[in-house]
Amino acid sequence: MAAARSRIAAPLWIHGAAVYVFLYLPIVLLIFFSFNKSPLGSFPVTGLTLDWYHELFGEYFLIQAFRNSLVVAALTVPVATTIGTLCAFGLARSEFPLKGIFSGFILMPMVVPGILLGAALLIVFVPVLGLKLSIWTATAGHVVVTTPYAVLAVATRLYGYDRRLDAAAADLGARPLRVFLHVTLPLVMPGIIAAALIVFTVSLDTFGVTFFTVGTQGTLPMYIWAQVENGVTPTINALGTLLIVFSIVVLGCANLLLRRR
Amino acid sequence: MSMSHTLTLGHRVQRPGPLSPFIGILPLTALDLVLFVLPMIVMGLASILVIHEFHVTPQLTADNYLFFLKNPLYLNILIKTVLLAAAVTALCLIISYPFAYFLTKLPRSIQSTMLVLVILPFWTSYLLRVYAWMTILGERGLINRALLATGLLDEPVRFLLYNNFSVVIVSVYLYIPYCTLALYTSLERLDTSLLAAAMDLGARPWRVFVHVMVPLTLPGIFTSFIFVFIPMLGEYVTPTLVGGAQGMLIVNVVVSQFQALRFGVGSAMVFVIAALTMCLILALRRAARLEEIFGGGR
Repeated sequence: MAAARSRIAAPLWIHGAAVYVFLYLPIVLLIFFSFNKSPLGSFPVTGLTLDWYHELFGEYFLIQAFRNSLVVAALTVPVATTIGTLCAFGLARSEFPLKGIFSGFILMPMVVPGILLGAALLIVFVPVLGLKLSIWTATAGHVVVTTPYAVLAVATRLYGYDRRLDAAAADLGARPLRVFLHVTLPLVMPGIIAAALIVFTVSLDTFGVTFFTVGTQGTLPMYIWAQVENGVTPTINALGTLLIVFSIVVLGCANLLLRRR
Repeated sequence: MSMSHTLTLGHRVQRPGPLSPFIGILPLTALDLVLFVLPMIVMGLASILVIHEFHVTPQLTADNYLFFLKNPLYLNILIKTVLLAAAVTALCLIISYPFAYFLTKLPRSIQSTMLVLVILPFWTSYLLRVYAWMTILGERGLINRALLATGLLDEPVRFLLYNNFSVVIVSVYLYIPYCTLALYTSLERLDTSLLAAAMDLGARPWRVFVHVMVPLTLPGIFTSFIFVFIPMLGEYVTPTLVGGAQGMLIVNVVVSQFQALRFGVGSAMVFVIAALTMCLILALRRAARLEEIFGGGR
């Protein structure tokens, strides 16, 4: 078996490399064109410039959208992380009937198309409850969509947890609350921080559920949507580059936190 | 995981009773009931009740469903959406299966890094990753540039963008990471000595693949199906940005109904899609085992 692992057939190598190229090509091109002088935001290649990045900072609507996104994320992160962490504990540390079905159920918001969930929320918020669409209604949608990610992140950490540590603390006379606060929580903390980082990036990027729930205070994806419907522009390439770099850094940190020793 | 065999030091860590960890699942249950299940029920009601200018009247109607199901244009788009989603799922599986197998064969030391490279960028800037395809498939895009430069073409071709073809390409691109991850999880657990045994008994590689590998990795294949086919039925960004008039999918029709404040008709359409999806999930649930993601439930 060890011999089989070290030998990979040539077609498999070529296919593997081709898939990586396929997956990264659009991202590489987006970054490349963000530095290209051509105002078409695409070919031809006419020279190097940072103009499009400068232009970003003068865009009033972009800055407003960014601010709205940060507010929604700042409201979503604590709520989704707390609820997700509690649920991960419940799933990892207790047995109850229909646990399997329940686990599938709480992951559903990850699979259900966000735009359809948003449409359903719109009917509840506007005609039924008579609310006005705002940052708050958008936050409600974001919490539903992002919490499953928090559950998964914390659960990943909890399943690698050695429960004998809790037992040891209890043996030494610590009461359950002390065990939780001084032993369990610090050990699970990397998972909780990773969950918060993941919820933050997902919230920042959530388009589907936001579409029908945000009203006039559009978030960053709403701004991008309004721009890209009109075709390719170089400033959007620059914005995309910044967002991709930012997300890769944040998710890279989350991944390091979740890695088991 | 049962408590008894994890405790070797003799004490119970958590007492059963009011402080049981079980209560941890309650907040999320409440949240999902209010903001996930309830909206679906309200949507269901909106599709069968008469609504006038935001006012709901307690009068049952089938008009919304009939309006949708009697319109051949909408029905055609629905059928096309299902076929396209099936095609995307099949292509994702064909591309991802050997790719995931390749990942499991890489040296242990770089395997997790290579896997993270598949997933990492694809958690972000969903809109912009779709948008970036315009610079590849468009008239001034990379492919046309390359073909013109090599002299294979005299003028740029237009059939690369704004049709069903571009919707399929971009969707396959979007969903390959999910599919790869699901298949990798299955292939990683595959006992390769079973493949060697089949070979030893004289089976040709193709037979080994069909009769040993595929059945053993069926859970991964079903999970891929759920993570590709279902979101594809609700894909809105891709058809809108790269699909043009020809590449329109059913959600484009739904969104235009909601934007015209025709909540009843829009809801009826969502429910027809949801009914299709639920049938598929129920059929596949046993095999897919979503709960395995949590490692529990044994």
